[in-house]
Order: sequence, then structure tokens, then C-alpha cells
Amino acid sequence: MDFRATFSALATAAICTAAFLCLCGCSEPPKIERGKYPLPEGAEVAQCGVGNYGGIFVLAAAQEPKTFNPLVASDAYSSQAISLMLSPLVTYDPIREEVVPALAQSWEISDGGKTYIFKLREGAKFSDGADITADDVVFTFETIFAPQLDKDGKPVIDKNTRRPLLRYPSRYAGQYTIGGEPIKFRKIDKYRVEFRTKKVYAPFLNDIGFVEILPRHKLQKAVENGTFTQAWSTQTAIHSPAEMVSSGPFVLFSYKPGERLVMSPNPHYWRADKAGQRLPYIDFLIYKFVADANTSTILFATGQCDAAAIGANDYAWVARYAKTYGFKIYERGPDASISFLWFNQNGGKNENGAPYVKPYKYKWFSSKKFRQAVMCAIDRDGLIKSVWFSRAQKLDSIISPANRKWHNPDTRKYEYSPDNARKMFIEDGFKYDDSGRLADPQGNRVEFELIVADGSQNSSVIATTFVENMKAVGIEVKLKFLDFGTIVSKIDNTFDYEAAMMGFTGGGDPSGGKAIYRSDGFLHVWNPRQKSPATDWERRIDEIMDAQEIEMNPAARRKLVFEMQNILSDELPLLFLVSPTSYSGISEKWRNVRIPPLGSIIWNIDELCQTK
Amino acid sequence: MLKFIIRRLLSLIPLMLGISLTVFLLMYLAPGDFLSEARSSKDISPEIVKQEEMRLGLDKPWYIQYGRWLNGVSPVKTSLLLPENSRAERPLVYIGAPDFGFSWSYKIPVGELIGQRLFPTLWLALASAFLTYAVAIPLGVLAAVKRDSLFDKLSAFLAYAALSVPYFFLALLAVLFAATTGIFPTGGQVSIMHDFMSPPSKLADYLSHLFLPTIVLSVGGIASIMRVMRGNFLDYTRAEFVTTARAKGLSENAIMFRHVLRNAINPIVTSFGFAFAGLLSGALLVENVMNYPGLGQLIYSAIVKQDQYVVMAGVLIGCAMLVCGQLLADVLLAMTDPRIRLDNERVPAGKLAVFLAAALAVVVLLTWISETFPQAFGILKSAGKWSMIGGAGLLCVLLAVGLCWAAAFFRRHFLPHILKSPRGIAAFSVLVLMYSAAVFAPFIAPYEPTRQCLDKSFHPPTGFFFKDGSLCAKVYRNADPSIAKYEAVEGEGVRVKFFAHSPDNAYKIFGVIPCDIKLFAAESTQADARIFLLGSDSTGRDVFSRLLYGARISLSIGFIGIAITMVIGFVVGGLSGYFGGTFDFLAMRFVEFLMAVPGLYLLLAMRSALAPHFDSAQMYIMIVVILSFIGWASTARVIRGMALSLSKAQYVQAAKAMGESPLKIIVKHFLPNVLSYLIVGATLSIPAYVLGEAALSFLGLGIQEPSASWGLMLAQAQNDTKVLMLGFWWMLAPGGAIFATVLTFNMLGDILRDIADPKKDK
Repeated sequence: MDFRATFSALATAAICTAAFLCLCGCSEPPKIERGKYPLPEGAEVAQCGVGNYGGIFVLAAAQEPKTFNPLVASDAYSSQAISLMLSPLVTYDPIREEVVPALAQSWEISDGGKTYIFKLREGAKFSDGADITADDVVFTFETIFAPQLDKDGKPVIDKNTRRPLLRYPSRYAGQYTIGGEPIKFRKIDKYRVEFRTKKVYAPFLNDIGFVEILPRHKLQKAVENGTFTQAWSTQTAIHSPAEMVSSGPFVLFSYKPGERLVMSPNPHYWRADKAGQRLPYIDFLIYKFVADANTSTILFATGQCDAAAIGANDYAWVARYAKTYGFKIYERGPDASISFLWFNQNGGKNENGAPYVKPYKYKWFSSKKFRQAVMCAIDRDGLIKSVWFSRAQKLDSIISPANRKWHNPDTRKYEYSPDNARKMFIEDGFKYDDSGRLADPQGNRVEFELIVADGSQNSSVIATTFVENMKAVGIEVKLKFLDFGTIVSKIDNTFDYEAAMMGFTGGGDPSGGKAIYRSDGFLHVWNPRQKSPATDWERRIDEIMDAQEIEMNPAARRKLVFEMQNILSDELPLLFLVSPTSYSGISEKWRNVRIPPLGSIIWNIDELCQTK
Repeated sequence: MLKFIIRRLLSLIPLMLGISLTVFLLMYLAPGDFLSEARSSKDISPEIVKQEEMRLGLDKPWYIQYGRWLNGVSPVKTSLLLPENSRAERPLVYIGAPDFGFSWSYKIPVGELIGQRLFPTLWLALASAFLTYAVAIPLGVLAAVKRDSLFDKLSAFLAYAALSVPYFFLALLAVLFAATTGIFPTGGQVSIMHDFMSPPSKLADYLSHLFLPTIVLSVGGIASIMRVMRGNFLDYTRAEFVTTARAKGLSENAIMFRHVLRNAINPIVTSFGFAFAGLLSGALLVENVMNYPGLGQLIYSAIVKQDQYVVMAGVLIGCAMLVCGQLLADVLLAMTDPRIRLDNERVPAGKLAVFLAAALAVVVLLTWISETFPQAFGILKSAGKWSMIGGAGLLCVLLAVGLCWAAAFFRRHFLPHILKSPRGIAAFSVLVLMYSAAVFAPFIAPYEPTRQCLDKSFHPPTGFFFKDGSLCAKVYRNADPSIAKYEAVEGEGVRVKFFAHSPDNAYKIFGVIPCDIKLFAAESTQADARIFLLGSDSTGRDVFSRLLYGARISLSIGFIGIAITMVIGFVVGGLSGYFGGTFDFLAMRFVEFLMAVPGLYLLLAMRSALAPHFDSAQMYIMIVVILSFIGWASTARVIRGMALSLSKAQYVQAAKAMGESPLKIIVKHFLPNVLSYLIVGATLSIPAYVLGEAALSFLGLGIQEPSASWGLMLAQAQNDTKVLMLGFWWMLAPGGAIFATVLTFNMLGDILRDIADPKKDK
């Protein structure tokens, strides 16, 4: 009897505890106060459908922001978080595919394209209520070009380049040096700033207008006392998120490394809807950090986050959950990134006088016919079928078809045909022996080593298929998987490799790929940093790249970029592989979703609102 | 006691110095650095990279870098090692708080970063330790009390099974479970809404996220502790005091729980410390696969990204946890067992000084070498490579002799006993079967392991039927290529021909005898007619064939590794037991050093430092070498103990008096005495090598494509989410193979132990 009583008492206690825990679990997030501040005079009215406030938008990210300082950030994850908190002068509307106003309400171009005057929004404020003025713009550019000072307060001059060393080196300073001179900027009045360049620079708006404007009242001290690169670090985000004032749609609410980053609406944001409600509608935007892209896909597929990019690899199974968890997947066409393999065409010698590539192999690698024959022997169709379940396209140009504005659809194509490949090898002077193995005219067996970065499932599948494909045409390929760092040092520094495989992210203006296309570029991977172009076609590409930069006529500029693609697809320094179809999914509970042809599908996150 | 604890903690200092220097050098030798990624990105100019390099101090020689780090960590600092511009602000010697440096990728102080991640890992470790003991002790006692009952047998079997599942495989299954059922969270330490919760529900939130990782991490521990507990308990039920108690008429309950349990639990309490020490290594894999934001995940990604100071701090913490765990074990033992007095242990101060001086000399020498000969490191690297290869060759000869001897011994002393028990016969024959399948892989496997069939990716296992008195394989068509769904074509089939000639697939038996007969083949004119016994993978390669070829690597790695371990362990242990004195002291300190290094982290660091110089075949050798380099320490310790007691035996004394050489004594008198131990120990630790290789390859650090190994094949199932989500279950076959192998080895080891030591009842 006693025992039974004890047992029932225990059971009751357990049930009560469970119920209590459940009740507590249903607690509400804090309410967001809306409409506290009047809209600024210069507020932009968004043309989206009018919605209701509320809702939590969850995203999964495979990496964390490394910093919240826009001038320090060098990776996509940091930039993405920063772009939600700091607005640039102008921004890019991926639907209209044009540059649209952001902090600058309007701009004028004069002096034949060499002078730009931006007019800021009147009354626009940072999230702490401070005005956004021309001083902030000037401060931002002054910080970018701030020289390093020695003890006497004089700028330190670099002995090699004869230019002043920068106090806070960032990628912008080099980019904003046009025609050998830094751009000039000055404040005209409280809301107007003027920029001048020495030469005409076609991608000016894309390049210079897109830098986030820093709040002077918060960061000036750090710039002056030399601690700017540590300012707005992840530590600031952890300990004093309020310190990081915002001019974008969101302010930082909290950041827990390894866990999540929470953002809440900026009460002073400069956009409103047609009903005069200040955007964004969302109450909280949460980034949940996960170990890898696979996990984030699983989270999306099981309804635990609201939007995700879905690889062609995963589409088949993610789509199965669409009904259960109420989301929709959009096909976005080919991916913007490019993947390729290439042969080392560096004819130089190392410091011991030994050639980087064995001379007889160098002869093969530098033969256009050899490269084309190898290309014909790669079974890209088979790969697409087996690995991507036909959700991919063959890539034929250095600019992915995703980049509709610049992609040349009529470059030379290579169909899979081992027979053709064999024929081409023979035409190029190679011979087959009785057992079907390929040898060059001097009798050297054709074999080489391919280096591949480890860790990626797809690249290892492509590499193993390549090995089999080459075996079929009598070439022996050895695979070597190396960590990314080693590969970079090999292709950039020691040049002791024969063939390599890699990929680049793509999209954007062709000027962004200068380092790849130009023969003196450091990403001209098959033979980087040439003193003078090694071949005629490389010389021609250099000329094209110079010409397109000062060409203001879009059609003429396009023609130049098309010619460059033709040359690269014909000469094949890079053997292009496959461009998988990309997909994006978003939960059906969100309204105002507009899918652009390229880029993130939540580019207009400030306009998204919950369906009733 | 206090003295002992303080002395132990003080011994941490040279240990940490040694480990930090080792790790630092490994990171330094590893190609590439933290800025590698920046160097290859489109929008970062080389000038910025150069300035960053200067800022991070990567342009300085390694000893300056290490010196700066050491200066930061030590509480007593000198301003000599500070960068020039801040040197003047400080006195020559000053005292400051330890500073573990700055994380390059997170841009916050390492101390803070570790602080954030330490607690999740600590909770996980504690929860898992708690769960392990709370479950294992009662189960073990119950199994002992109800000896030979159904419960006992069932629990024994389950324990074997639990011990044989690789951690990462279990974690993989747990993630799949969480993702598909939605009952438990799929990772993280707290849920997304955590910030908005009330304190009690926050606690519930923590617990629900801890649940799955804790279980995955505890399964192995529960099984082993349970078996130990059962064994101890049974030992004590036969002790004399039990007979006395029975004679005095005490009740059976009182005897069992008041007397036997108290004694039997002693060693278990001790093992708590060791278990705690080992948890961090286990947590690394589990945290990574299950996405639990702890120290393990942090350190692994730091190693990958070469975030140097995070790695150093992480490894030091792992090592401190290990030493503290061992300390805890000793202290607990002293507390529970009054017979043990800790203060008796004495470390001769003179020897310690010699040891420290030797370590310091090595550092100075290294510094001097890299100062005077800048190319020395390159030479050192290639010298290391060649000496490793040469050493491996020498070892091979030694091993062949050793293995033959051990095999003969095994046949004479063990085999007859094994063949007496049905369990023994089963385990032994399964192993024989597996090894011969691996040896004759080219004959049994229908295809080459690299042979692709791009039209038939993720083909399910082929079914069979009988037609006209002959076996036929079903023919499939890809009904829905967008999800790789295959359907058998009704009524169609290809005949299976046994012992078929297949000139395309000619091979050489043992690498010598040319042959083109396959065990079975599809009889068809079509080139792509295939029989996939275990389905196909993403490029249409036959999983069954790859499994067989993979077995060659996965199965032999254990044998070779264990042979190396045992030979080194025996030689070092035997010599130091025989000679004692300074050699013994130095050897044992080195052994302790190896045992104190968190194994998996050292493994990762070594592999990334050495790998670029090796191709796939050499990589295989390297994995063996790395695994056995870490593994021989414990064997050496045990052998030393045995040798110590043996050297006091009369016949050894007699041999010494007759002037026999030490080597002869060791081989003739020690070896036969410890050989049973070596064989049993070897059998029981082979699973560790199989699992070690699998874990390394699974992390992408071991065997590489297109070669096959079981861990590598499993990695495909993890990296390619669609494999599990679209139900290509046959891709998990290597997991089954690992499980079966480990299980049989554990079983055989247990049987061998019973034979070698019949007094012990397990």
C-alpha cells in the first residue's frame, strides 16, 4: 500500500513538472515597438504589397560572420550580416537588374562620366537617432585611404610602390585607385558629396556606390587611435550589440558564437510601405549557425528554417518534404560559379634551375590540340546524369550562363566523344601502342597527376570520373587530394604540379574577374603573374580587358567581353566542367517574395511579411 | 595527498611545454597557413595579404612565433619578445595574466573563444559520464548476480554490439533519426527561441539538445564498464571474505551489496577519471557529426583552417583534461582504497632536471639549426620522409619474423582451445572468411573497384530468380532518373555464370599468377550488364567489389599496426624493465608524454603536416605508422611492469649470473612469458585500428579516392545527404562490415583472454 502511494505521488509530481515545463516553453518573444519615430522626409516608399508586422524569420548559415566591420570583412558570411545593418549609397535591384538608390536618394553624373554627385536622404538617421550626413560618407572614404603615419606624423611611403602605406588596408583602397590615382571626394553640403575620378571608370556605381557607409560618431575615435580593425569585431557584437548602430533594415539584437545571431528591426530605417508603415515587417531575423551546408539543407527540409539555397544534389529529396512543411522551391537556372580543371602552363624554372613542369610534358600542356582532345574525352553528360540526376548543364564559357548579361552563348562547344579525342591526339602527333596506351612522338607515355582539394564530395566524384575517362583514351591520371592551402601554394607559389581542379564563384561585372583573365593576374591560374603575355591570345585578352574598362557604351563593352570568352573557349587554358542547376526554397508563410534571376531570394527581406 | 596533487600538477608544466612545442612545429611544418584562402580569393589583393601576414607575425621565424606565444601564456613575461613598437612600454620582466593569443578567424581572444565552447563540451562530458555510470553499474551487478541467465547472455551480446559500433556511424544514424522523426533537435546547444524562454524551459531546452549526443557518446562506455563491473563482481564473490561471511550466516543480500559491491566498485571509481580524460577525443567526432557547438568542433575546424593559437590552446586543454582525469583517478582510488598511499611515489629531482635539460637542449638545437641553415627544415622534411620509409622497411622484416613466431605460438597454445568452444569456432571462422575474401578480392569481386557505370548510379542490389534451371539476375531500368528509382523489368534476366572467364578483368593472384576467372559474372552481350550484389554508388561503381577491395586496407591496417605497436612496446618495455635506471626513467616519461597527448588531435595535426608529401599508397603506410606511434605507449608500460617482476625471477637471475646478454635474456626468457599477453592484447586492440582508419578516412584525412576503404565509403553516405534521404541504404554496408569485424575481434579477444588466464572468469 505504502509503495503504491509513493508511486502515485511521484507520478503526479512528474506530470506536473512536465506540464509546467511545457507551459514555460510557450513563452512569447519580446514585443517590438513600432511607429515610435516619424518617417524621414527623404524616406523611400517601397512598391511592395502592404503587410502586417510580426513573425520570426530563421535562416541557417554554415559559417559565422568573422567581423561586423565592413572594411575588415573579406568573406561572404560577414558581408551578408553587415549588409543587413549598414546601407551603402546605392544598391542593386536584381529584379530590375539596375542600380537603385539606397542612402543616396539620387545622383548626377557629369564631366563625361568622371564626376558623380550623390544626394543623401534628408532626415535619415542611424538606429541611435544620429543623422546620416555627408560627413559620414567622407569619413568612410577617408578611413579607406587613411595613410599610415610614422612617429613624426608623416605618411610612411612604401619603398617598392612609392605609394603611401595604408593605415587600415582593405580591398577597397586598391579598387578605388583608378588610373593610378585614388578617387577624390568632398562634402558639398550636409546632404551632398562629390566624387571625381582621373579616368572614366565604367563600373563606378557598382563599385564605389556599394561600400557601406560608416557612422562617424561611433567609429571616429577608433580610427584616430589606431584600433579601427578591432572595432565592431565579433566581441563588440557579443558584449555590446547596441554599440553597433545601423542604417539598414535591422539592428543587432544578440550574437552567440557557434549558436545564433538575432536581429531586430531598425526603428529608424529609411524605407516604408505605401501605407506609411516603416519596414521591415519581420520582428526577428535569426541566423542559426550549423556545421555544414548539409545540415542547413536538412533544417530547411524539415521546416526548421524559412529559406535556403538548395544544391542540385539535394533537390530530389528536399522536394519530397515541400508539402509536409509548407515550402516552395524555385528553380534558379545554372549556378553562377564556374568549375574547371587545367594544365600547368608555366614554362619557368624554380630557384634550383629545374623546370616547374618536365619539358616534354610542358610541350603537351601548351598544345591547344592536346587540351581540346582531353576536353572531348571528358564524359560530362554521364556525370550530369549520374551525380546530379540531370540537374546540371555543361559549362562552355568562363562566364556562367547564370550571368545573363555577360555570358556568351555561342562559344565553341565540345561534345563527349572518345573516338574524336583519339583522332585529335593522333593528329597532334601522339601514338597508340598495342595495348591502347597513348605516347607522345618521343615515346613518352602520356600520364600526369591531378591535384584536387579534399573535402568536397562533388569534386572527388568529378576527379574519379576524369581518371576513368582518361584511362579510356589511354592516358593514366593519378589523383592527389590535398588540403586547400597546399593547392593554393602550389598554383601560386611553387608551381610544382601538372594539372589541377578548382572552382571560382562567379557573377557580377567582368571587371571583377580581371585577376583571372589578365596574364599578369594572380588568379590567371595556368600561368599567373606573367611579366609580358606568353602567347598572342593572352595578349589579346589583356587588350580587351583594358578596353572594356573605359568603354561606356554597354553594347560595345558586351562585344569585347564576348570576344574574350570566345578566345578562352577555343584555346581552352581552362577545361570547363559542369554548372549545376541551383534551387532556392522559401517557406510559404511569407508574402512579397520576388524571385530574381540571380542572387539571394531574400534580397528584399525588409519587404517580406507573414501571410494571414 | 596534497603534496601528491601539487607534484602532479607541477609535472603538467614540462608536459605542456613539450606538447605545445610539438603541435606548434607540426602546424609550422604543415603547408599553407591561415591566409591561404585569402591568397586565392578574387577580391583580396596580394598587398593586403602581405600586411596581414606581418600583423599576424607569420613572416617571423618559427621560434620567435613560438616564443611570443609562450611569453603570452606564461604568467611571468619578458618584454624582449614583444614586437618592437610595444617593447618600451614594459619592464624587462613583468607579471601578467595568461594570454592565449588571438583567434585569427574569429578575431577574438582565444581564451574567450575557448570559454564559450568549454562549457557545452564539459556538460556533454559530465552528462555522458553520469549516464554511463548510472546505467552500467546496476546492469553489471545484475548481470553478475544473475550469472548465466538469459539476461546475462543478452546483455553480454548487446555489450559486444555496442562496443563494436563506430562512434561516428552511430552519430550519423542519430542525426538521421532526429532529422526524420523531428523528436529531437538536429544539432546545436539550444533551440532558436532559446533567448525568449523562461528559465525552467531554458533548462529543458538544454537537456533536449544534450540528449542524443550524450547517448551516442555513452554507448561504448556503458558497454565496457558494464563488462568490467560484472567481472569484478564475480571475482569478489569468490573471495575468502565472502566465504567467511556466508559461514557467519549473513544474508545473501547483505553479502552481495554490503561486501562484494563495495569492493568490486573500487576499480570502476578509478576508471571514472580515465573515462573523463578520454571523453574529449570522443567528443570531437560526435560534436562534428552531430553539430554540437563544443570544443571538439572548434578545434577541428581550427585545425582545418590553421587557426594556430586556437589549436594550441585546444590541445593544451585536452591534455590538461587528460592529466587531471588521471589525477582524479589516482585520488579517487586512494580515497576508496585505504591500502594505497600516494605519497610513496617519488620522482628523483636529479633525473627530472636531466630530462628538462634534455628537452631544453632539443629546443635550442632546433632553433640553432633553423637559424644557421634556413633550408634545414626542407631537408628535415625529406629526411623524415625517407627515414620513415626506410624504418618502415626495416620494421617490416622484424614484423614478418615476429608474426610468424606469434602465429606458431598461437597455433600451438590457442587454436586447439578456440576450436573447443562453439563461440570460438564461429569467431575464428568468420575472421578466416573475411581475410580470405580480402586476399582473393580480385577473384570474388565481379568488377574492378574503380570501374564506373555512369548510367547506373545508385542502382539497388540486384535480385535473383531461377529460370530453366539456372540462376538469373534481374534486369532493372531507371524508372525515374530524377530520384534514381530503379524498377525490375518483369521476366527479363541475365544468366549468372560461375567461374566465368572475363578477359577484360584479368588480374594477378598474390600479384604474381595471372588469371582471368571470376567467381561469378553476368552472361550477356551488353557491355553494361551488371550484377550489383550490394548496389552501386554515385558513379555506378559496384559497392560489393569496393567493399572487398576496401577490406584489404581496413583489415590489414589493424594487423600491421598492432604488430608494430607490439614490437616497439615489447622492446621498449622489456629494455626499461630489465635495465631500470635512467633509461627506464626517460622511456617512461616519454611514454607518459605520448599517453597524455590527446590522440586524435595529434593524429590530425600530424596528418596535415605530413600528408602532402605522400601519395595514396604511402598514405596507407602513414596512417599505420601514426596510429601505432600513438598506440605503443600503453603496451610498453604493461610490458615494463611484467619485465620488472620477471627480472626478479630466479631463472632470470641465474641467466644473468651465467653472463647471458640482455638481449638474449629478453628474447629467451621474457618473450615466452609475455607472449600470451601480447597476443591477447593485440587481438583486443585491433578493433581500435580498424576504427581509427575508418574515422580518419571518414573525416577525409585517410585513404583517398579512387582507392576504397570502409571509412571512405561511409564518408560518401555522410557527405552526400541524398544517399540517406532517398534511401540508398546499401551505401551503409561498410558500416556493417566495420561492425562485424570489430565484433568478431572483440569476441575472439575475450575467448583468448579466458584461455590465457583461466583464473579470470569473464
